[in-house]
Amino acid sequence: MVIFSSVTKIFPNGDEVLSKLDFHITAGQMVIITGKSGSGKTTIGRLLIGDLQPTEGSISVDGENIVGAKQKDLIPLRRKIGTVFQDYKIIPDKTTYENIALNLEVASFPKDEINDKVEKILEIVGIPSKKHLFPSQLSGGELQRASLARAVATEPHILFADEPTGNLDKVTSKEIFELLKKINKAGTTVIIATHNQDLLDLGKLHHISLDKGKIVKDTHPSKKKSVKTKDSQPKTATKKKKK
Amino acid sequence: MKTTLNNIRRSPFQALAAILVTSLTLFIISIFIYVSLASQVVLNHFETKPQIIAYLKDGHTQQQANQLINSITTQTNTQDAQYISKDQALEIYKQSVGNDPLLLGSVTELGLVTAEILPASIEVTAQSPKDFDSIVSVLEKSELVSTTPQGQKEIDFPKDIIGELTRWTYAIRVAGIILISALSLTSVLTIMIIISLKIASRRVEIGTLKLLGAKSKFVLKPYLQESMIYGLAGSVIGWLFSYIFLLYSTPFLAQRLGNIIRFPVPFLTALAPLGILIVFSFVLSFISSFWAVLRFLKR
Repeated sequence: MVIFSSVTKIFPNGDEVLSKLDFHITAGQMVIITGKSGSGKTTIGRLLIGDLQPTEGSISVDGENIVGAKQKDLIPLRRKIGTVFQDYKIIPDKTTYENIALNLEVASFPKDEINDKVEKILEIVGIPSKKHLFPSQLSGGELQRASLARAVATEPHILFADEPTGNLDKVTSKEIFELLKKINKAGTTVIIATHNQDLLDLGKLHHISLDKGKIVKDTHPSKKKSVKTKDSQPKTATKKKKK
Repeated sequence: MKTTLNNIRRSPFQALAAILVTSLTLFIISIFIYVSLASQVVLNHFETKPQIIAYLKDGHTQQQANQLINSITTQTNTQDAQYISKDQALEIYKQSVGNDPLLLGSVTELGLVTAEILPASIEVTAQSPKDFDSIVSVLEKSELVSTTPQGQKEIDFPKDIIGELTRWTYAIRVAGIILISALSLTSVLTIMIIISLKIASRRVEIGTLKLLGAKSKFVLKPYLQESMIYGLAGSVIGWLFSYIFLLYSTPFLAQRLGNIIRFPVPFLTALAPLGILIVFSFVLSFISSFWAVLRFLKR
């Protein structure tokens, strides 16, 4: 379970990226966070893994408040959340195999297990033949798959994918979304931050729409009703916040 | 370890600089160890052999000599004092000429050197060089000790040699420690700068690892290992050069110190400083890399 309660993020330059954000994500859900560039989608991801601290509010993951957590306390959190970064963050001088294995090494998986897991995940994401190639030798779609493979290799509880189809063509984007659905069906809570909502069948998914750092739509099943405002005012349909 | 070796391979000139500076430091340390050990052996040699020899007039009796020995041992700090008769003096002479046919011939065939022409003596070993004055004073007062035509008592004692040697040993140690400290600091700074540069150049990668949940230890271990490798390589190279230097200097040293130190120095004895160098290099590299890592973590 992920809970954002009245989360505000103001950057040192004074930009208010998120404003009084309230939402919660139930375990096992597939959540789509949509919004234009600069609406705060990436910031949500960074807050979720403790890369940023909110200016106000609280964030809890699996019942633990992560606001103000020390660096060492963020380590188990980050291992719990797989992240597909918008810029992939694939290490350039390591092969696809090594990049995926690295995440398993970070999570202290035994060496003999690492090989099996990497081979398996490469099959799942559909790039087994690219395992010895370096990032510079991969296409955008392959890089995205490699990034996805690295994020899910450790079988995290939650997967946050930031613009997973950002620079991809329609066909590849659909394939990536299908892959994310597959991962979700396997039990992982998947959070996708994207501006490319055309490819998604949003009707069946938990959809949070952002505009200028405020929630303009949240279709969580627990909401009494989903509210969409024309003027993009911060009119979230969350239940009354418990103090 | 693979990551560490890759890091070294990727920047060979930085690695070379670190290894060369460390090697130079450890070469100097290795030479310093050899010199310190040798100077100590030389000092011990002079300190433990009979240091004061008083030559006696002919015609004395054994009893008179014993009385003089007795007064020396009771009035001063001595380790040992013994009477050397004319015959014993000849034996010592024979031993000291060794296999030199000319000098040996003068004793055996020509009969030029006999016990009669050699003086009997009293050899005294002091407890420390500072006791020389009191021992010499007792000997000078004795009528038994022969006198030179210039009226001086015939007493040999290498007070100046030991004093000079002690001063030199001390000076070598002080100079060595200053030089080693300066070079060690240079090595620490060089390794630290190189490791800092590497950490800075891989800041993005380190950031990614941290976002993936890597512990600081996991992220920074390759850099610590890298500096340890520099230290290890530096200690082996530094020792190797010092050993080559020692072998090269062996004929020169054997000529001057051959009767005090056994040359060539056995390989295992020469190998001993390598252990010290490895430990010292690990300390140096750990300090430097830890310093670099700490600077990074504080940011």
